[in-house]
Amino acid sequence: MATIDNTVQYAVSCTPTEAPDVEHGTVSNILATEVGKSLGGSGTALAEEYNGTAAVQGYLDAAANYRMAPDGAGEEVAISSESAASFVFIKHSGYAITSDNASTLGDACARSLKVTTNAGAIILSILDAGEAIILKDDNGTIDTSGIEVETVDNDGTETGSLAHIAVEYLVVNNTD
Amino acid sequence: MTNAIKYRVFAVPNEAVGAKNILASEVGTKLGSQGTGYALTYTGLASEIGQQDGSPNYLEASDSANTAICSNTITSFLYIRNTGNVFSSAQKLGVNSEYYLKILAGSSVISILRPNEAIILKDDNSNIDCSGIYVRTVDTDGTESSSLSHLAVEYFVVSNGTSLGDFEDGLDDWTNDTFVNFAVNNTEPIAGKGDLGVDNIYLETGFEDKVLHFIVYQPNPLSILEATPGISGTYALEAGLPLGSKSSIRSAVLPTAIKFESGVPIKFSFWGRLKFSASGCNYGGSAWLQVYNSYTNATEAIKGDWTAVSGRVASNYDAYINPSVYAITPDFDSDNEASNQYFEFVFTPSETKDGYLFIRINNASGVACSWATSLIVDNILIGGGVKYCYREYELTSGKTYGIQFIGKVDDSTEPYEFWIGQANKSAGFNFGANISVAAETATQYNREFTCNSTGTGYLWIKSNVEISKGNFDNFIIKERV
Repeated sequence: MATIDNTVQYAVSCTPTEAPDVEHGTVSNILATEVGKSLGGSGTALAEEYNGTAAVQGYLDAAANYRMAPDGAGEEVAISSESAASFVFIKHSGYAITSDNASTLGDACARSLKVTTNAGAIILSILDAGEAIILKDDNGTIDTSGIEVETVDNDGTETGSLAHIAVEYLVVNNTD
Repeated sequence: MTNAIKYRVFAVPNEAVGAKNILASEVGTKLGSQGTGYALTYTGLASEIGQQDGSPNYLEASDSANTAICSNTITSFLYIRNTGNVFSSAQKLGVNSEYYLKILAGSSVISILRPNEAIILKDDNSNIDCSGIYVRTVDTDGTESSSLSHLAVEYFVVSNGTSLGDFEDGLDDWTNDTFVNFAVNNTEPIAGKGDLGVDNIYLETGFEDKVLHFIVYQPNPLSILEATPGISGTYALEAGLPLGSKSSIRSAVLPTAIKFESGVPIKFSFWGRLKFSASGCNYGGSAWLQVYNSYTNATEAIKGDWTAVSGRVASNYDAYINPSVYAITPDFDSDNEASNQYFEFVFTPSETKDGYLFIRINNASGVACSWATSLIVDNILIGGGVKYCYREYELTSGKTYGIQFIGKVDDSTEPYEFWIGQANKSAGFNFGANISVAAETATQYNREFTCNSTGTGYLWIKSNVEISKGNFDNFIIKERV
């Protein structure tokens, strides 16, 4: 019998739209003519096992382990300690949380989630509520201890002592 | 409505049970989200945006070095895909390739993509620096090798203005779109014709009634004639150039040709002053500025009448009009102007002809003079190849303004740079941080800065390249709210 691997199938897509100029009233956005199409890609990340801890993996026993993204300048925290990740999913849950590695969400939170690397120096994304990014490498060279998250204001300002975003994430590796 | 990019990511963690994959029980759910990125415009260089006119502009991912996605430092949305093809050209894919595409943020690996896989990054505040996001063709085990065929990368990069917040249109008197395409065809200087061999350019439909401002500026005024003491004859400034080594400059300062139409007035304004480095070189003596209406001195003058509109013009300025060259001479009421003064004239041609407006310095006495000025040309059909351009409106101290433009330099012999900044009419020039650029590049730049004084002024970009070799395109300014 043929054997198959544990995998994470994934896809990303985007549709650039533009607002056409009209003389009267407004009309809906149209597909951006400079691009002329939707863009996307899909693939498969290899996952050896889903046997990490909840804190490392982000999910365990079919339950999410939310990471609390602190706020304030320089308060970035690593999304995980996995140093050989093959797949990374990071999502702004849309909710606040009051403790790290918790499973219960708090109130809705409209602040933004900053995702960085290089100790916060390089911005990968700033996500609004409900938004997510995916990173992947079948060879498992993504060091998630260097992928940080932080709660920021919508304009990216690192205001401290406000609500902290609950981060939904999934980090898997391709090694035993 | 706003230009927006709807995006979606989706993942299904599976685990193998025998010959089947089922939803991974440890996760127990599919993962996904959708969101929106924002774009100030999709207009720009294909090499910066990655898409143009409905077609991709593929990037070649070297296997021997990391290649930056583009030079956009304030990206709001970024899409990168391994096409699964070898790079052939920016417009054409080569044969299939199985190699992987490594993506790095700085030195950190953030993804290695198989063919057709993609990632999306986004930040509405436009703080993603694509000049630090690299791609590289690697082997399927992730190892680097310099013997691999280079992958073609599909990408899409846009900016949401400048680095913070949304923008409102701060240029109501300019245009709703707040940009204009300038010409791109610049040529080498034309000997004897003002070193300004710039092609005539066009304005896009809808801009006919807009006021375009171009400024030519001499950034190092003291170098021009002090470096060539004792010169004699008539000399004109080759504006905007560090001219210390040039001793026979007779160039016009307006960077492009104008189409003079008989009976159609052209406003011509500038900031300027005379600053003398030796006695005997003064307004009352033998040195003065002249405003000409042709790209040569006298022989090709375009006939017409000059009128002073505002600024300091001597009551006897007519005395300085040379009928043979149809020039007007602004009045400078002291030998050494402490600051630039504003002059504004209107020239009404009496014939239809292409030509130039320019300011020159006439130093008939042969005494070294220095001159610092900026030149503003107003209400003319003009564009392209400028070294400076600016937008005028009310600047407010403490407010932040963003500038986006495409700049290009063609000369590889010098390290060229762009600057941006503000110029208040009363406060002079205050350029911001410079932007270093490599020659032979056409890159979209996005910068912002905070205004330090209130008043009618300008936001500028300038370059230290020759006017005829500089190129600014798609100049956009927005005020941050």
